[in-house]
Amino acid sequence: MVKIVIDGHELQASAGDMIIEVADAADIYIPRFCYHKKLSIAANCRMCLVDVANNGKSLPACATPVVEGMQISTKSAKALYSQRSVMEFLLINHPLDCPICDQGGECELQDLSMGYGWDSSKFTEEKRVVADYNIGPFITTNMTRCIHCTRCIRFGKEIAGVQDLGLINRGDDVEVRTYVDETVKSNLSGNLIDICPVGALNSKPYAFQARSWELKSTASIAPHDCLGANIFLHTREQKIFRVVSKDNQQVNDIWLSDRDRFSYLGIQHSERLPKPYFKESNGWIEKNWHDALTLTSAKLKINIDKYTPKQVAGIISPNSTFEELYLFNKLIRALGTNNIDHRIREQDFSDQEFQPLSPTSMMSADDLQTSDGILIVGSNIGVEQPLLTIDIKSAIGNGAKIYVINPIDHKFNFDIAEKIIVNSALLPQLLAVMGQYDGLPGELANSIVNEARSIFASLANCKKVSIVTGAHLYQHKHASTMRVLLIELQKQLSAKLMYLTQGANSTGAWLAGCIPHRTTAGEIVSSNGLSALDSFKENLQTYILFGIEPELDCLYPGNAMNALKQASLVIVCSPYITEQMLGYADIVLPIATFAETDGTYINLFGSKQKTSPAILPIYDCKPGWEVLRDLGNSLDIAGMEYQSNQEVYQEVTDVLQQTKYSNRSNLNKTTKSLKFVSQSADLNLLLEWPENSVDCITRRSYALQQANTFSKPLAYINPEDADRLSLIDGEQIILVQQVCEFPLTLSVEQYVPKNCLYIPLGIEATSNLTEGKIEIKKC
Amino acid sequence: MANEVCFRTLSLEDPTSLSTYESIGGYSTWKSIIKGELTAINIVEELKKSCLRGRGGAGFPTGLKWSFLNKDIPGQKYVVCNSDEGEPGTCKDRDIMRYNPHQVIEGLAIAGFAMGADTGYNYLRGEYIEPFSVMEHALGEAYSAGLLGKGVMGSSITFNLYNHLGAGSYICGEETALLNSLEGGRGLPRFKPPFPANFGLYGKPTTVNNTESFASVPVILEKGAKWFLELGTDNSGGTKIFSVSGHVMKPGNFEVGLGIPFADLLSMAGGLATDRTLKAVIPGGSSMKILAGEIMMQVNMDYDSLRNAGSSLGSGAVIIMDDTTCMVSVLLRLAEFYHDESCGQCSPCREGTGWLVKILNRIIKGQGKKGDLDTLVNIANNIEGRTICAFGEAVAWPIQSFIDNFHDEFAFFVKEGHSMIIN
Repeated sequence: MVKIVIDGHELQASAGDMIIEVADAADIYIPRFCYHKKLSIAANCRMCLVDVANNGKSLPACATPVVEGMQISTKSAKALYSQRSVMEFLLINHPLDCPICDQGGECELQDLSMGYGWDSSKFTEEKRVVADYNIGPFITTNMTRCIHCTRCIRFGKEIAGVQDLGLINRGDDVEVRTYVDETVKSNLSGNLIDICPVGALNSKPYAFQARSWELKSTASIAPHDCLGANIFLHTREQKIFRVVSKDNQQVNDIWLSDRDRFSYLGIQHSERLPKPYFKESNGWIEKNWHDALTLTSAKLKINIDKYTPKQVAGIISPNSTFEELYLFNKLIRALGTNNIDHRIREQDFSDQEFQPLSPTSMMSADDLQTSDGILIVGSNIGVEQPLLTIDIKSAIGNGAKIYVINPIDHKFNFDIAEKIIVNSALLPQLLAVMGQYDGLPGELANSIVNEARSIFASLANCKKVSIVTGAHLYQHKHASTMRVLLIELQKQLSAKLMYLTQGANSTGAWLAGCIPHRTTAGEIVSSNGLSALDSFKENLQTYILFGIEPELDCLYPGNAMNALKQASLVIVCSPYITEQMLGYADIVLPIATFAETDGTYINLFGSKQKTSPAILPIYDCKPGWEVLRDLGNSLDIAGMEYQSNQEVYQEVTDVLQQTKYSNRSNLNKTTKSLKFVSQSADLNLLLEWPENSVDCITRRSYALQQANTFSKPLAYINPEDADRLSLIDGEQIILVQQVCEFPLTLSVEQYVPKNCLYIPLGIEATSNLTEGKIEIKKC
Repeated sequence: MANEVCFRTLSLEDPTSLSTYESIGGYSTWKSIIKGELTAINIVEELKKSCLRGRGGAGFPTGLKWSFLNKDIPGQKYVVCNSDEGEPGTCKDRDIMRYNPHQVIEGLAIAGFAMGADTGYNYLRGEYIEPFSVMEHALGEAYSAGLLGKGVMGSSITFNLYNHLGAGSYICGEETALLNSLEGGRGLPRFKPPFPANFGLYGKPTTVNNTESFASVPVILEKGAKWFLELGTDNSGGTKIFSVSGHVMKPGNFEVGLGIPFADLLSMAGGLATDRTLKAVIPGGSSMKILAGEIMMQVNMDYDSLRNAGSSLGSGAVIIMDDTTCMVSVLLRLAEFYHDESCGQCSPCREGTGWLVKILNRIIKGQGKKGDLDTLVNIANNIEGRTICAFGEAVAWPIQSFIDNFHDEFAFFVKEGHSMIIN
């Protein structure tokens, strides 16, 4: 520790800290542009020049380390003159077009020029003009306003891991831009809007929409993935204008993924369902809520009486709030059935009895950052959880090595030490080999076995290992086997396990009881109900869907569609109405989105995060919890008389506190029944959701759709398979299944493993895909 | 006496060849190092005694600089030769490389040994295609003769050297910008500290010296520090190559002892044309302050004398201007150069260099305004000392010294709309 004096205040600081850090900690403001606490030091804007005793020159506070006895003045005549002269330079070529600039009112240059600018400029020459260019659907460029602080460039290199922006030219011709008219590709690019201190990089969807001081700010959660980034919704007169990041060190730090930042564009979409609608003999009829609830409960009762409660299934989106999940559980169980599920993207439930109370990760983001070995198993983490890649990058910065085991060679924005890519059918065997498990079919090549053992050896030498697993695992046909093997590996490596679960609230869904084998707080039910997939395969009579569009949200959408079309009653609670929904639904009830209601989301680390309504529910739609409560009341279900969402939350929390179920089960009980399939000669399906089509809201954000990846109607296969099947890249093909067939365009890619057919879900072209054998037919 | 150090092969036949160089004692120091007859401490001490000062412009004592990079620090280290000779008026390194390439190679090898670096880079400015090919040829000769490489001549000493041609940017002559450029990045100067001796090329300890400095080293070690020191003055040891240009009859490079009276150097360069008088001289490359002719005629060409006269020896580029020179036009030309060459990193330099050119251009077009001269000086003052590298000073000093020394001429141009010099 050293003692220094800043503006007369004696301060303690660690030797080597920069003056600006010490001043910030002591609440002494030093003006700055290029300095950003999350980025490396550039020291190029020169705005933070301060007066250090015994130094002729003013020194940049951002790049000058403190030493014992340093006397610093940030407001002496010399310091202020230096700062003002730099401000004059920064402003001579700046257009000063604040009245038409979206940054106006929240612009660092505007603010600092008030405090550190001269009242007039000596500059009377012509100003520089810089061409703008299109860098994608999220960001406008007004490069004449750029002050070349290079925050955006350092963000790309250091945080996003994709250097999209760079400098071209020199001197006052210098320009920040993409390389030869490329667009910005990082899925964290929206942060550039926040990080740019001036109006050079601004939000494109927000352009010319509002002034920042007119907007009301409401804290909320982005419910599109299991991290639940903290956000502020900015609104004016019941319209959402934009989303900005809310700092939360434990969750999203100061960053947001583009998905979280621009999903709001889907909220006030033209497909929003305005009122309850009923299918009657003469077509679709609009109803008021009173009639709608009475009619819905009447129809439901009739159907249950006619077909028994066992013919009812309730399927809820894992993106629902904790309160909605709890009420849904209460409602469905009260109907006399245990057919309830939120696991719409899983197909192997054989280990469900042995699962812990919830799939909450045994670690924090901080644990990930401080790991020295990270094993990623079956996850396209950069798409599933873009923000966690920042933590992984910071772990790498601290010397961590990253190992990847995946069924496809996903590109990551961080460096990987070693990776093994195998056909998804072989993933369980690969994990077994790593964990030294015997009794395998022995189909893995020796080279792969050796690589797996070498990765295991490297990890065994690490002090702190994290294992991260995601969608390729939970969607897998033998997910149970892999979960057991992962627990085994975790024990052998004394590692921490992170589950990237489906949706925003899987933990909430397990705790609330939206699973067929347990009710709230893990209470075992008398007889297990059907999982989501099984309830569709069983072709039941009554389905109650909440917040999902099965044709785009379910793992085998074709099975869902077939079941729904034959059912005698399909009740859908949804914010949106679609053509396809009109085909299978009998009753549609409009519910509010996350921006219009309050609720709780429990993220992968187990933190309960609350949203509050930023706008009133639009049209006649109601918050989901109210719809479920009112339906419960109109069905005369006891204990559904809640006055507020808070009451619901209180009740479920009380139930949870009384739970006796251990949070950590001993999954290895099932080791005996491990299943290993052999890799068949058939093509193995590998399915994935496009990163910006994960739920009904993101699918309707036009900006997200423009930047979507993996969303084209393409089927990807390996070149060797293409040769074997005499297919060529770009060829029209038809995928044939037992009950349906659908056309796609073939894309031949080296990164797809052999015997693999890799196709996107969540798009219309594949909404008929059913479980079972699939073949490629030439057109 | 002239051409005794860096240009010592100049008068010989085939001056660039290995055999010529060896015939005058070349590589004898390197060979005695290989035989273990010289220690790193000997070398650094000898350099300190010789008072060799950096020939690139800053004049930092070379021996002291080499002592910062301790031979015993473990790990990779580098020596880098700064042949990015971009300072307007300077062309001495070009001719050292063109006529005496082996001496540069030997100097770098000795430096590598003295500081424990097994790898050296010679970074040449992009336009030096001919010197590059001469250096490449000489490097090939040295490797073929077994003078470089792994375990030179069966010893435990390893030294590999690479010539690298830059892309023609003035700022890459700034040592940290040079390192960035050598790494393949943009040639932007780095903020210091850390200095290259701690965090240099690829983050490893690195020493960067000018070509002329490296080329002086073998001769100093062959002939002794005392011999070298006595070629110059007390605090400015040895010889210096002056690149004399401008209004002289025989412009060129002259390697002479430091401390030579400017008047003598001027007559070596053939003096001025008849009927012309000396108006002004920039004595150390365009970044240094301009001095009036009458002051220059009293000055000796060494570090201290020029400092006392209000300028600096710089890179040794002596730019002579006679009485037909319009100072406003010269300053505009210089300002345009600095505007073109600013890397664009720091706000004062990026914005200030363009602003200076805009005002000077307006003055030249006869649209000068009252207050323009104050603004020019004010801009220069506000750039000076507020940037990452010394380019800020290089921009500011000409502006300040031109307007200070020739204020009347500038004021005349602003007021009358044309130059007071009628040619």
